Amino acid sequence: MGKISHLECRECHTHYPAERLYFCPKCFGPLDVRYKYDEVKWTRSFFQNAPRNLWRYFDLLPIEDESKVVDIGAGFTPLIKATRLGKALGLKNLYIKNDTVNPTFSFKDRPAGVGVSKALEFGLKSVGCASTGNLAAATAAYAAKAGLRCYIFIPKGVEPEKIAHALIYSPTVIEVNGSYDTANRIAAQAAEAYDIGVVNINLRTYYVEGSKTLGFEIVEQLGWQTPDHIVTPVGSGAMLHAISKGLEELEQIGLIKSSKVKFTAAQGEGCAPIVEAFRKGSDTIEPVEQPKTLAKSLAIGEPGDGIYVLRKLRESGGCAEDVSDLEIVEGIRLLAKTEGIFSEPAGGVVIGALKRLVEDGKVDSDETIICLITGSGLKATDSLTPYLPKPLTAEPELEQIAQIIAR
Amino acid sequence: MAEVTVTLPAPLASALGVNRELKIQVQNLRELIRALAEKCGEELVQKLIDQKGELRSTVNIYVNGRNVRFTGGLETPLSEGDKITILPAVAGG
Repeated sequence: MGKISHLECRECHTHYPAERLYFCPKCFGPLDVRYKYDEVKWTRSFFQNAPRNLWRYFDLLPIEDESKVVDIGAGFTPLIKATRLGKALGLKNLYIKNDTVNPTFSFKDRPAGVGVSKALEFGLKSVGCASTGNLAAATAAYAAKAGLRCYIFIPKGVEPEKIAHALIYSPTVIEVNGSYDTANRIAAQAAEAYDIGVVNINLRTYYVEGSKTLGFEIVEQLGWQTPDHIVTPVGSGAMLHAISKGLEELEQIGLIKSSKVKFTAAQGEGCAPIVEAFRKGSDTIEPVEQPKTLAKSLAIGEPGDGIYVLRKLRESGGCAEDVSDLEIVEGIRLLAKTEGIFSEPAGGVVIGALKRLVEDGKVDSDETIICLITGSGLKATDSLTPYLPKPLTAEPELEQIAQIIAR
Repeated sequence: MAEVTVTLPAPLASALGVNRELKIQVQNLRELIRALAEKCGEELVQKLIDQKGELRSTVNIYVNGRNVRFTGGLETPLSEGDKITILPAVAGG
């Protein structure tokens, strides 16, 4: 008997056994994994000797056979008290969850690890993903470690650093002539036609579970306290939803008193369908056909979990903010120069959104706020360079250096 | 009337007990859904269309690879040989 109780449709609540299902055949709704929560024996001391990676939470991850776990050392990343950034913004309890230090330098190592492990458990021979860049490298790295074939579908316009990064693990990378949503559609068709475990499509039910470990870690690293507010970058919305689910699970098993956290969703202008819907008070998402933002990892015009993010934002009393390319770059630079952390544009979106919240009086200076920094800036140096100053030049003479220093 | 080819996602075809690929003669997408209901059972309409008569947010329909949300929704006209793909709206990570 396994630890998974069943899969549950988020829309019609029909239950299914934990099989290779990725949507509800009754209503097309997404499926969530439900565990036998009363059998989870977690206590705070349970984690003292647990592995220092995402698999420390194995009991609430959807892999039944531990021998199928594919581990590249992802997760349990630092939660850093951002004193200098906090001072710059007027916030006393600001923290950065630094997921740039994962093995492929983004949070995608969490869901990809669970997705590829589940593919192995299902006996699949090949895996893949549709990706705006970060998931490509993560899936390819896990596939390499697992010895599985790997097919990566990316849209036109992905940052060259992200393509090179994925290619190094020797997957088959297919650049699809179109947007992310087009790449996603053809990946979905290929998944069914060629029995590929496309982690974020036909293994999605299991894959998204990996992202909730971000929530587990934040709470554990705060001494099993729930923060007041989490500011998160949003593309599809799957990560935000998964974090919220993870917190609810911790409450359900009695490890925390309350899972109530205010969420703010941050998107880039030019691809902010969730922010738009939030502002209009709409329950539906108007998709964006041609996304245009510096935050390419968030450029998902038709966010799969958009309506669920809207619900979470409203239930939690949260906010939604979209920021311009310039604000994104300013956010990246502010984070770098105050905390020494180099984020990709998605992190600039988060810092830009937080700055707005402060300016608009939507946060208290005492709130415990977590900013999720989900990918490394080294993945997007090409797109950032035009915004950065040029290095100063000098002849190797001390007089010239003196002139520079005297400025 | 145009003859079009419709591809259903495997779990749905299996739940309905029909082939994944079906050939149907229709003029537009709304008619296509009615025709599919005749072939696959009335329950299919509820799976695809919400109470307001619009395409459910959990479903995407593509005509020759283009999402119909950008081409007139259920009124999207269909031509001979069009390839229609129905997929759950699962995008991003």
